[in-house]
Amino acid sequence: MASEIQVIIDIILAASPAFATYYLAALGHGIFEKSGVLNLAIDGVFTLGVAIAFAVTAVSGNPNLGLIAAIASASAFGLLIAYLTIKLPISHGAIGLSIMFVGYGLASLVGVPVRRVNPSANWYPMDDLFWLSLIVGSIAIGILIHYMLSRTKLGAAIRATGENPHAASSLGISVMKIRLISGMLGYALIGAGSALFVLAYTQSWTEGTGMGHGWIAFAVSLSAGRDPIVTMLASTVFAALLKYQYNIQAALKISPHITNMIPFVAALAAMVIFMVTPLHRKLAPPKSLGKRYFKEERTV
Amino acid sequence: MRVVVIRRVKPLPFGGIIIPLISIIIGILLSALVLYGVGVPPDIYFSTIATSFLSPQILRSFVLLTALGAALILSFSGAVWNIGAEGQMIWGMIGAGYIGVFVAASSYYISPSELPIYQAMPGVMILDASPTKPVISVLHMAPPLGQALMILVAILLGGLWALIAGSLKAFLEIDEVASTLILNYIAYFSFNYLVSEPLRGLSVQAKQFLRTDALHYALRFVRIPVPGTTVTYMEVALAVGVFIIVWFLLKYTTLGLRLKILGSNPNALKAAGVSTRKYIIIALTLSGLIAGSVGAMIFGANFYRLEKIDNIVTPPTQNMGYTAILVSWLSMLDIRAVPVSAYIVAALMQAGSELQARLGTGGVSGIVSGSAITYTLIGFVLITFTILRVFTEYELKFVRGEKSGE
Repeated sequence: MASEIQVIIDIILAASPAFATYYLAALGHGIFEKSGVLNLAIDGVFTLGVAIAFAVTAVSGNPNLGLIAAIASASAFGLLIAYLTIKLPISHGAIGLSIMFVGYGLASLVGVPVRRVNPSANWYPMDDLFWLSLIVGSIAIGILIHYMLSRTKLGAAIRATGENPHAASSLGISVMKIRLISGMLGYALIGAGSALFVLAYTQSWTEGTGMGHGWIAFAVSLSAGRDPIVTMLASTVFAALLKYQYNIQAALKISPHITNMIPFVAALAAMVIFMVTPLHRKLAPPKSLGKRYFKEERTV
Repeated sequence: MRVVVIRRVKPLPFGGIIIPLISIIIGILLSALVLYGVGVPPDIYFSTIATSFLSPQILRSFVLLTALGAALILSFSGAVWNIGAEGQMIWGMIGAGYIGVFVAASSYYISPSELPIYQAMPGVMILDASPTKPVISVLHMAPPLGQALMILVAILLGGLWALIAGSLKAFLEIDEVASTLILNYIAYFSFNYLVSEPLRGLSVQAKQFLRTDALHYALRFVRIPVPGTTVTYMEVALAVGVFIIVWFLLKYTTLGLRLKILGSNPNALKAAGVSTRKYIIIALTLSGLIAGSVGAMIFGANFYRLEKIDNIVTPPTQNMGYTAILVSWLSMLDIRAVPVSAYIVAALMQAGSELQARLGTGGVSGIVSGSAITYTLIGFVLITFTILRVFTEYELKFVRGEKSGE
């Protein structure tokens, strides 16, 4: 009996890097979108965060520096997106996609030269204590964010900005400030998720590592209605799918060449499930998500 | 003194030309700066870009990007963002590949002693002359029919793949950017599965690498005999055909008009009793059909076989599904400008791979990959364009006085 419990605990712990990656990234994405900014840059910045975390860790020898560098650079992008979409009447989708491509390009430019000299880096340890701290840490962050969004003035302001920025503004909320804060905070979490993806999950980097997983985080957040607690459940499912895709493939006796597809098919399925069930009414997206907030005249 | 953004009384004169041009120039400069940071000398970068505008090698990507750009304009006109041309092209490749290698012709093992007989036989191609297990490809139908079938099935599969995202958007309101992108990854992995197992070839090479057998000579698209280029008659015909069809659709048909209204004012469409769902599906499917046909070109005019994608950064589509977004945006969704922006983007793409080759001999090899340059360049031009496009309708004004809030 005791050994069975041990096995289950091991299974859960080993999936913690994948869980922390998806949960933190989806959480961050959710905060930013709660404030009304359609976030299509996520995959590019995620891929760039992965490359920066790898490069800084490989050069400095310290994974914590890699994590910090990824968080810092990702939050800079969050600030940039929030600033541009507020100051100019530009399409959220267009700026997001453009930044996605820049992210892909910069990721290769940052990672490839470093990898040539240092093919490996000092990754995070693969031990139970670190894994446990990842789970506890990300759940704690999730609960904090949940509290912040639902119980604090800042959270109310973020939600109000997402629902109706004009009304929020007339109540004295600075839409600019709120979106800058949620952009920075949201992207800091996306950056943290991306860093953990390479430093704790894949523990190797080649050109293209991380690509597509930003979109999975996007789908996780969408299918959980951007709610921090529901996102936790959705992330658990996706972490299990990612970590144990080869076991699933072996159990279902499907081709190993199909294995990589599993998280992506699940991402699509999760969005469909969310939309066909009453979930999407209970956890409806912010009403002004992706709408331009512009009052005809604006000081740059 | 402060700077404000206000709406113009009249749109910026020649904004449709000036803004894309300035964006390209600024985008090139910004990417040069970034590339300089990783050790690419700007003089080499600029000279590579300059020479690639005159290189005959860009003809092929120019032709394919014109078709893809037109395809995306169809969907973008309806404000339906088809970012999934990559996946649709991949399915086009699969469709054309299946027909080309398994239906219009197919491969057989023969005994080594029969090899000389088959070598002399018309319509038979020796795929693998190995002394133990030779493989031949036998033609089953007239080549023009086979080629037509290849393209037809490619079109169909590309359209069906886009139809998935179209239905998700129309019936479930799932953002098409996310779904088409996720579908791209699913398409890449499906492609890898298909070429590794069900469609894997018989020849030694196919056994060694995960790939299909090669396409029969007679089914390969014929190249135009211009030195320095690899473009085929079929690709040129496709691009011209697609261009005329899309131009006609958007300019002269109800369908085109309704697509444009879907993009500018979907509520007007609803008020007129027209189903917006239907037009969302049409917009995505039509552009998927065209992307599928481009997939057939990639297979039948260039690769002649399907091979496992080792790294999703470098798919056989050369990321043209993404570069085509740049083509259609730079043309300001005006179909007449598509060939011009396709030409510019084709030259920039060529510069990316040319630069990689040049740096290889210059001692900094391995520092930059072709796709890194392409992505960086596309990204910076797009960001600049997205920001500058605002100024076709808005302008900056310097006014006196205090800041009056937001």
